[in-house]
Amino acid sequence: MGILIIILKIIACLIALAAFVFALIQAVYWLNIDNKIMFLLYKIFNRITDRVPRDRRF
Amino acid sequence: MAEKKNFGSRKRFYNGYELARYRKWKGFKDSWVDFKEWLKEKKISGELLKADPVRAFKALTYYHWMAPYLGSGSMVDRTIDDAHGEALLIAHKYMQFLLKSNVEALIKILKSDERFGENEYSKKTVIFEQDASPILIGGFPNLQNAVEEPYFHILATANDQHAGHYFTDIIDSYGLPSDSCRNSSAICGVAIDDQLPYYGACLITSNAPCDSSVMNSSIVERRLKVPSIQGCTPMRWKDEDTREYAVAHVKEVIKFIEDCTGETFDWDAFFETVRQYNEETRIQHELWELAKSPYYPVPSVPNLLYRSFQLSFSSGLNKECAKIGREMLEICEKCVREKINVRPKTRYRTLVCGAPSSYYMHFSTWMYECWGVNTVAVLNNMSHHEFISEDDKEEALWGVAQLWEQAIMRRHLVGGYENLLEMFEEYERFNCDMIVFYDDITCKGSKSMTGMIQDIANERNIPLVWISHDLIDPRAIPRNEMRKQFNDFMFSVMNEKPLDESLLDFDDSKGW
Ligand code: SF4
Repeated sequence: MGILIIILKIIACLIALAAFVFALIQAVYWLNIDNKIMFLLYKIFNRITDRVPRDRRF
Repeated sequence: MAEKKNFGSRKRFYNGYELARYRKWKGFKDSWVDFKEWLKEKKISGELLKADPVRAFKALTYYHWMAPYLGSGSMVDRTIDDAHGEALLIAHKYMQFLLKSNVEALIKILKSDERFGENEYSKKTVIFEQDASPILIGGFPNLQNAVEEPYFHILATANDQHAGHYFTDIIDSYGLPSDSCRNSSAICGVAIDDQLPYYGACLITSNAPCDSSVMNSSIVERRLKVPSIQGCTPMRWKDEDTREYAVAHVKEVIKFIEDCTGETFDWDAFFETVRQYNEETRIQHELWELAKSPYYPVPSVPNLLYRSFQLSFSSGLNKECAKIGREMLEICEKCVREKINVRPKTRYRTLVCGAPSSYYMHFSTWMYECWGVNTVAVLNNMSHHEFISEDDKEEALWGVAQLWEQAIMRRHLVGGYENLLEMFEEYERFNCDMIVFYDDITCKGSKSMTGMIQDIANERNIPLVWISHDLIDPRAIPRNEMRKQFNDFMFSVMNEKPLDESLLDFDDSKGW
C-alpha cells in the first residue's frame, strides 16, 4: 500500500511538472517572449559587429 | 514629428516596431496548430547553435549579416499573419522548410569558413554567385554548393529591414553612386568590409540577372581569393543562334570545376538531380493550375519564398523540396475539390510583378489584411519553368544554360519587353482583378517600360498600381510610404474602403 502511494505521488509530481513546463512554454508563446529575447540578442550582436564609423553612414 | 500610436489590430505591437507584445488569438483550432508548428520552428532554429556553437558565436560577433537571422522567428510570424485553416498549415510547412534550408546553408557556410580555422569542407565547396542555379553540382556528388550572396544581404534584410543598408552605405562612401542597384551595391559593401567568409574551392560568378551583378562580381572575385570563372550565358535567350555558345560555356564551367577540385563530372548523378528538378517544376505547374481557383489556399509570401528557393537554391539538389511541394499540392487539391475557402477576406485577386522589396517581404500579407487583396500569382515565380532533358547530354546542358538565362529577375526585369509583357497573359490566366507592380527605384531594367506598361493597362482597363521601394534600404521609402501608395490607389482608383482601418497608417520603421 505504502509503495502504491509513493508511485501515485511520483506520477502526480510528474504530471504537475509536465503541466508546469507546458504552461511555461505556453507563456513564452503567448507573450512572444522568444522573439523579445531574440530582439535583445540581435541588438547586442548588431552593436558588436557595427564597425563602420558614423560619418560613413547615411 | 509626433509618434503614431497603434490602435485596433496594431495595438499588440510596440509603437514603431514590428515586434508584438503578445500573439494573435486565432481561435482554438488555429491557435493550437500555430503553437505546435511554432514549437517545430524553434527546434529547427536551435539546430544552428547545436551544429557548431563555437563557430556560430564567432560568426555572430564578426559578421554583421549574421545577427539579423535571430529575427527569423519574427519573420515567420510576419509572413503568416494573414493565414487561417489550411492556409495556416501550408504557410507553416513552407516556412519550416525554408527555415530548415536556411539553417543548413548557414551551417555549411560556418563549417567551411577558414576564418574560424582549417576544415575539411572548404575545399569541397563550389560557390555560386547571385541567383544562378547550382544544378551542376548534382554531377559532383562529393562536392557541396554554396549560393552565398543572397544570405548576406537579401535574406538578412528579409529578417531585419535594417540589415542591408549597413553594407550599401559602405560602398556608397567608396564613391559608388547611391542610385545604383541596391542588390549589387550591398554585396560589394559586404566584400569591401571583409564580411565574406573565407571558403571555397572555386567561384562561379554569373551575368544573371543583369550588368549590375556583373560589376559586383569583379569586387567579390577580388576579395574571395579563390579561382573563378564567369557562368556567362547569353542575354537573348530566346534566340536559337545563341544555343551553341551557351552550351559550350556550360561545358567550360564543368571543366573548370573539375580542374579546381580534381573531381569528375558524373552524368548519372547529374541526370538524377535533373529528374528531381523536373519533379519540382511539375509540382509547380500543378500548383499554378490550382491557383486559378478561388479556393486556392496558399498565402503569397511563403509561396514566393519557396519558389525562389526552389529555383535559385535547390534546383533538384534538396530532396525535401519536391516532398514538401507534393504535400502542399495535396492540401491545395483538397481545398479546391471540397471548395474550402480559407481566404475569406478576398475582394480582389492580384498578380504581383517586379522585384519585391526585401525589407517588406510581407507587404502582400498587409494588402490582404487591410484591403482584402489576395496575391494569387507572382510574375517572378514564373521565371524558368521548362523541363530539362533527363537523358540527352547536349539537351540537358542547354537546359542548364536556359535555367541561368531565365533566372529570377533576368526573365521579367531585364530580359526584354516581351517577357515583361507576359504579365498581361498571366493576369488573364490567374483570373486577376488588378496588378501590383513593385517598382524598385534602383533597378533600371523595367524602369524604361513603365510608360508602355501603364498605357497597355489603361487600354485594357486593367487596374495597375506602382509601389515604389528601394529594395533593401527602408530609409528612402519606408514601409509606411509603400502602404500609403497602395492606400491612395485603393481609395481613389478602386473606390474602396479598408477592411481594417488600424492598418492604414502606422509606424514600423524601427527594429525588424
Ligand atoms: S535586375 Fe534590377 S534588382 Fe536585379 S540585380 Fe539587376 S538592377 Fe538589381
